[in-house]
Amino acid sequence: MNCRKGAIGEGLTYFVFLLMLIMIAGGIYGGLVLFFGNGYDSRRGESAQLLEEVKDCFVREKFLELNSLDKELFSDKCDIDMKVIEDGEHLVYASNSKGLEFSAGVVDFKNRCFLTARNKNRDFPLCVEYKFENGDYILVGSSQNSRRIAA
Amino acid sequence: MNKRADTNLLMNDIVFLVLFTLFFLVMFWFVTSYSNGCAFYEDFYAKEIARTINGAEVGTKIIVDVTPLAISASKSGKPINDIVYLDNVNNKVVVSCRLSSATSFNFFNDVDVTDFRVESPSGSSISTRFIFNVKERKNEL
Repeated sequence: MNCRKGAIGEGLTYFVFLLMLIMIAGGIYGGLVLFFGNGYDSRRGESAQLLEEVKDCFVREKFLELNSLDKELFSDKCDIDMKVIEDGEHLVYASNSKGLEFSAGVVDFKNRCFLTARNKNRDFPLCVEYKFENGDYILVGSSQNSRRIAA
Repeated sequence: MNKRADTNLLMNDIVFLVLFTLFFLVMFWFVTSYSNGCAFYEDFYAKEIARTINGAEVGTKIIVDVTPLAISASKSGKPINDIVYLDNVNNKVVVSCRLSSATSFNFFNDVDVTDFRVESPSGSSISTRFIFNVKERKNEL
């Protein structure tokens, strides 16, 4: 029978070692974030800019008065790149007074836009909405953050 | 028996040393990237240039002052001409002031950005400008 004295205690030192590494890493990260700030949050600015583009285009092209609203037409008329809108970090949603709906991007943003966590958690979208006098409605959101890539 | 125990002890020490070295290197890289403002400026300029393109009209020539980014890049040994790159295929702004990594951000405006270049009229990183033209996108058939 292999009966090494102190084997359990020795095993526990691994956890102490890992805990120390986590504490040091957390301390350095926290210090850097406190000193340099949490970066530049562009979600609301991007949403507002996208809303302006979409709103101007919808009014100019009378898009919401059409009988069918499709993405190809939207992309052609509004000069907005659908690859970016459908990258999983954007939403363009519109509905008209007749109940006709148009949606491009992440449909679930319609819910996530209004969650309380959206202001602190940058994985959530920040959205802006616009209601026309005739009942037409536009909701635009973005959760895009910059990505680190290999140079 | 004793010899095997010695080998185990040595292995433990080696694993500890390797883990510690890895941890130290990652932390060193992380702190260095923050300390000269590189990470911050990459993030800021990627977002600001994308924002400028999103709001730009076709036919516009845009000049952005990227001096702080260029100063960070010159400290890291990155050539100033390579600090900003625009990818028209993927609608991406790529900003880098380090040799190994970069930061990217997408723009949604369906335009082509042409003739982009970084210029330093003074010859040093001071007063560095990023210049580009916004043109109508040619549809690929």
